[in-house]
Amino acid sequence: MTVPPEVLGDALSRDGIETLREGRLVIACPRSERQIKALLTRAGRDGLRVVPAGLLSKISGLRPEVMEGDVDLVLSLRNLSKVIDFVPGDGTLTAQAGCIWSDLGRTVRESGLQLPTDMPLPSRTTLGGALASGMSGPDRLRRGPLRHHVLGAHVILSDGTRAKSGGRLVKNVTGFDLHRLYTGSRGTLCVLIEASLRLFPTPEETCALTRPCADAAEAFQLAEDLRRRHVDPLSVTIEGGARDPWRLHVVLVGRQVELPSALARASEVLGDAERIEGADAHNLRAELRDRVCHGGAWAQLRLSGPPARTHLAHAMLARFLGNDPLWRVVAQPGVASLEVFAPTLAAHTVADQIALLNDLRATLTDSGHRLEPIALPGATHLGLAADLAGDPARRWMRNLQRRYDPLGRFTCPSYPGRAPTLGATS
Amino acid sequence: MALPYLEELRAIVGDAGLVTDRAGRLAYESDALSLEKQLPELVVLPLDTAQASAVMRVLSKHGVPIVPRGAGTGLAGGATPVAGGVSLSTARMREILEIDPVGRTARVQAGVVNAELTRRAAPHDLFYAPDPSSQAACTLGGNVANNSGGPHCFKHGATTRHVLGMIVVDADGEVIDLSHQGPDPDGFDLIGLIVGSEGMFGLVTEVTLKLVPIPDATETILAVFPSLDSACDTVTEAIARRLEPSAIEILDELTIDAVERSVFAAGYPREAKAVLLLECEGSAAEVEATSADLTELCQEHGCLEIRTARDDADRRRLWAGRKGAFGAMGRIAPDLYVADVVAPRTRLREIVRIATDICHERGLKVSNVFHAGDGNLHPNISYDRRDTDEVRRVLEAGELIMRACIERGGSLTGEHGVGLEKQEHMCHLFDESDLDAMRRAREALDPDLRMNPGKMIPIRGCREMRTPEPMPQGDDR
Repeated sequence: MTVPPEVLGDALSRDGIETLREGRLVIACPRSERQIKALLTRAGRDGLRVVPAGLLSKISGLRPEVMEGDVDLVLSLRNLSKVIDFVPGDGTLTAQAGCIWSDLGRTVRESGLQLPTDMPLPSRTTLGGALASGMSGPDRLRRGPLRHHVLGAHVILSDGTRAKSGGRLVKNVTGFDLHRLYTGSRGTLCVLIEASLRLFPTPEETCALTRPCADAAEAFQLAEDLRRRHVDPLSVTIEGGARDPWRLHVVLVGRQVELPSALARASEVLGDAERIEGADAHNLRAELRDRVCHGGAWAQLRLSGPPARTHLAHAMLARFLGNDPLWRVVAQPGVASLEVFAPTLAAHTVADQIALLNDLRATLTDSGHRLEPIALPGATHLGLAADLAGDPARRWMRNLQRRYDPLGRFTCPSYPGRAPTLGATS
Repeated sequence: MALPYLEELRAIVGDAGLVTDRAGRLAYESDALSLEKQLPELVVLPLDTAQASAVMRVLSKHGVPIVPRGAGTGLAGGATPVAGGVSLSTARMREILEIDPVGRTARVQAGVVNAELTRRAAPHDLFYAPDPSSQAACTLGGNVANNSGGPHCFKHGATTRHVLGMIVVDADGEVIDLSHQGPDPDGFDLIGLIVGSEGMFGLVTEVTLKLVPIPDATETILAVFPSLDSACDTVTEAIARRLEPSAIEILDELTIDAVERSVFAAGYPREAKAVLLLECEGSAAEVEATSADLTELCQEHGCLEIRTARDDADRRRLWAGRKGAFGAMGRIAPDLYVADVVAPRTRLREIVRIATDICHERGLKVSNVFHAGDGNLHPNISYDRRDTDEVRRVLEAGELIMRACIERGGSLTGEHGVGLEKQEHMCHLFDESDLDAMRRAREALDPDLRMNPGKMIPIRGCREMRTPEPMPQGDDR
């Protein structure tokens, strides 16, 4: 059931819960666990569809159905923003879900530590939002994805039950790693209210090499050569497109004494590359971090698959998007991820988008790559997900959703995919 | 043997894939935690995913509990068929299916032995990083089930950070293919959930693993300390100073003595009260700098002597002593209780002392050999199982050590898993709603609770003996 926004907003205000409006969305911002439980009780009673969120910086990209009236209430954790425990000597941080990523970064930096990933848009991202989205920064090449460094979590399930998993320890195998399940579940299983992260020492030095390339093929070849030479950069980013020149960026970090040898080895592979050091290198690292949100907009598609075949996926993509004068790519070849900006695609009808992307998906199968829609309409997500609905892994995911959220308060039709019998496209 | 499903299984795996006789099945009545034993009805050894799936369909039809098993080196009773049923062993699934040197990945069957993968990857200048002490025997499937660690996980992380994909067969025989994952999961992170789930969601038959480049330079340092306290404090300070060696291990006096009297003798100084085994890896410059920092730190904490491995052979010898330490304990007493707990790294000294006091107050011999850098302690209690009172004191000490860790922000297990051994102690760390959240995952993926029943999650009111509640809104099976 859908409650008119003004009625819902008034009712929540009477309960003492701060509410905001963004377009047609009602955003409730509880200040306590008790208020979260009260909200969920109301949602259960009134049949409301709820999406847990932070600052909604990623929701427009990752949960477009929210913008299409598929939800009654956004439950923002932004008011739960306390650092609960920071133990520099142990290299761990525990904080409430509403803490801003960049604020947490500042908290730990004074102790010579840093958060486990260069999260895109850190000043607009909450800890809970980062975890729910499952996103990581380009530095995942060296450090691994954020989900590997989540040590534990506290959540509130749809029936109001609070539950924890893991802990605040860097090594711990007690019980199921439910916090891993929750990370990247996009708020479809529970409301994440608190999490613990492993921290990393801040590197002594950061520098970068950046090099123009004749075309994408050269850029991907150089990235592979770096890999074959066992250069161990923090990140490798390739960017370019129909109108943009192709460039390869390599960020290196480490101790002062070791960086010259790492730079020398990378330079041997890259040849005539521009060396960037000091504050400029830090700035470039931050820019590369935010490239996935180009000009404030998320990519339309993400391609991922075996690292050794990223160049093949790109070649197929280029053939497919050849007629789009605006397409561009930001690729992290070491982790086999291609963010694809194809604004012309967004102008097609939903039916055409689904048809086009199903064709592309079939083409990509040869390179072992997977296609994921990002900033496209919810109906496109749903249409593409329908094809995967029979996959046994999806069945497991749906069963998990049913167990964690039996009334479907958090369930999103396109994520991780509706059951085949219910499948419906636009 | 009159098992109604025997001939159906024989048709799938043949005689070579079955162990039916009692003598043969005795080898499967427990894992390395031999305090608890239960004979399985039957042992089945499929060759591949297809056979495993067919076997599990038959067992599903007959409602038989299934206990997955690797090499049986687990220390928490995770592979003990406590509820009867069939032991499903991966012992014949030993193929390394693919090594991709460019992508730095390996695709293996679950029964491949951990050390074998590193041996096969070495010609490509790669290795598999998680290195449990049992790596010469334990299987990669077993490592996945327990999220196994090892000394070098201080730098490289435990198994969960190295699993890129897998194939799982669920209790009904359905094949869940998670082997073509990109950098992020396609949907929920099922791999993250399955790693460390102790075989309670399904049988992992194939795994895609990350391989790591062999570093340009490696240096192994043995630091000799006049007390266990000073060794612990050195580790705590190394973490606080954000030094990044690849391994930080502590061995105490009793362990050193046992190792030096055994075939694993590594040249550890017998007069030492504790030694710190440190390893640095990376570029030559990085290794040199980190080694210098660590040496200085050790000296600040009263280290008596620093030795650096002269060459690869010397390095291997130092590590053989560490990895053979558990075996060497046989010199102290016929049986060994290997405790596995985790402490915050800022409280190492305190918890090691408490564990030692708990054992000494009960007249028990305790030795310490542990992954100090990760705060993962192994107070090892030597005992004789024929002495029932000593067994009682050992179990009592084990429980008190766990409680002491939990009270100080630690945890029940760092790498051995919960299994049978720590099942009842889960309640000390988790409340009923925490455990219920785990049960939800279990019931979602194995609604009949036939995968490795009676493990990890405390049984409440014989929950596992009854039919679980029906799946809300209809089971998607």
